[in-house]
Amino acid sequence: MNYKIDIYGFNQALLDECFNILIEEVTASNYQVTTYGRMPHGFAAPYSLTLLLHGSNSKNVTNVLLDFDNSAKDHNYDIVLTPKALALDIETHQNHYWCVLSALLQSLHDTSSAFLTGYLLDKGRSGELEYIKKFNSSFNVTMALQQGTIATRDN
Amino acid sequence: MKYSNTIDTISTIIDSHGFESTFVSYNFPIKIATATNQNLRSTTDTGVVQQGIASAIGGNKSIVFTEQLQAHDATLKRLTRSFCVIITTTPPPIVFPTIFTRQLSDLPEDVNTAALVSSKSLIPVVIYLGTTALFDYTNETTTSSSHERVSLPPWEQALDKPVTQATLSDAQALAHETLSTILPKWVDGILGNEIVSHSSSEGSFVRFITPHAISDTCQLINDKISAGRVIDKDEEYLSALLYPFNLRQRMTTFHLKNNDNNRSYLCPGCPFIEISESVGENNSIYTNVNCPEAIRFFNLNTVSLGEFSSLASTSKDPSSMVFVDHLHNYSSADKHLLAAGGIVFLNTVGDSSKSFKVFSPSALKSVKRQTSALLFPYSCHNIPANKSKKIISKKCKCTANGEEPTCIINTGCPALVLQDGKVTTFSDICVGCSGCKISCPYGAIQ
Repeated sequence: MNYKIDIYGFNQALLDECFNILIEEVTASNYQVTTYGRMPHGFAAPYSLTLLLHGSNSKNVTNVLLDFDNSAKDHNYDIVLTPKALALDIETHQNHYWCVLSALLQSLHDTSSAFLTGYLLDKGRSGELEYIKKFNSSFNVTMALQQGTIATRDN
Repeated sequence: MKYSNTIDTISTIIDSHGFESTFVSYNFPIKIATATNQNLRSTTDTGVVQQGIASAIGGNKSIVFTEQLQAHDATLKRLTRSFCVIITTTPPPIVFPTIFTRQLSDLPEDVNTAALVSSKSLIPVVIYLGTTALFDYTNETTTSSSHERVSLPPWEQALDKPVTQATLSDAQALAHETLSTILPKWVDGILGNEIVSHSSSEGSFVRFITPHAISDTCQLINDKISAGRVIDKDEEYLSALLYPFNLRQRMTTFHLKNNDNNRSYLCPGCPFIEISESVGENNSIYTNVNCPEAIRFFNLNTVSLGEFSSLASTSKDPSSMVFVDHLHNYSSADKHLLAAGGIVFLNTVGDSSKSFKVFSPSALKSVKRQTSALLFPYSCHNIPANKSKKIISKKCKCTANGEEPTCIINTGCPALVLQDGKVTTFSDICVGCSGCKISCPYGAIQ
């Protein structure tokens, strides 16, 4: 129930939105949250930070890669959530950000995507909601986790 | 409860503290923008601190963002009439009182403290923004600004005179005293005998140091600390500071997995794309432009112009060597360094270029580089936004042949993406620099 999530993304505005929803969701599930930022490499380098979610006293940590734009090279993680792994195209309208976030919320224990759906409904962003629905109907995250298709860690 | 990132937090701080002058060096790793401050000036690393201090001496509330503080920046000719806060990201030489900010949530309060101390002691105060705070999120952005000067120190009459060593020493002592009362004494805050630099919640790091008390602080660290877990950059700094005590052996370095895990992405319109194309593979490029992405991508050698001149003068084939840097870092006094090798200066539009001979970029190949300096009209911060490039799908043959797209591999441009098996451009990001057009072997980009 402890998670270390490495987050990468280019679009700062969307990253901010996703981060705020994620924080709201995990704090509602009573995870203790710590963030470590990372120094950006250059102006065009992806923003990246690490999120530690403490959910138990156990020393076991599940390493998660949350890479919104396929920008990380190393995929040696317990759970890999990238557009490539989730069979998503990187779209110019960038709706794939919401699908990757939705997949993360489905992968963590005790979290749901209620805040995500509520946020998009409040903002009247029906296009994004439709896109998430389409993704959820075409890709089963729970099944993929069980089958290990989005977990590529070399154990 | 809204969380905001480092960029927004810094913008809020600048606006809420009423800084009248903001100086940002080109190499500062994050973009700084403010809503209300009209006096934001981007400038080169060389001299950015001096400009900020000069502005504060003139009575403006100044804030400076610089990638690295140089030892020669410590030359303080006069005391500052208003406060001056310098924010740096590389472990600095301790030339002014320095506050260490480990987490973004501490930054608003630390800027407040720095402004107060600078205002009282009439000397600039430095904030070292740690690696973990450079892109992070916090929900604490508001702070009470209590940096109005209540009473002036006894050396107020020295404001209009050149500063003396005795006055400077008094000012440092006052700064140390003020910092000690506001910030917790770091040695008392350490849990056990360990120093932890990557999180203020798990342990402590040095909270502040003044040049006045470096030796005392070092002695305290040596006596108190038996072990430590520090981030690589902090470890560099600590080992330099504590070299006589051999503390390095007691430290465990904590590496943030960033340097190697990102693919390289150059800025759209990166001038190095065209320069490297023109120079060719057989020639080596040297630079003083501190861009980690370009250095990794093009395998550049980092040297200063002086070092390059020495290298070129001793080389058997100076014509195969090219040096690239921003023109603003040099004046006509540096002309004697242009003796050998090829030199390309990156220029910003509107800057005077009278000191150097000017060539057009298309002439880059044909110029005899042994004797001349080139002026390239692109600078890292002056990428012209031309018309977005379009890809003619009929001519785009790399993906059709099942190969990796040459344009994406050669340019590393974030505006180029593979969508549905075809290369497309993000019109929002594309600045029309023609970097991809140069690299496409099939002429598919127009």
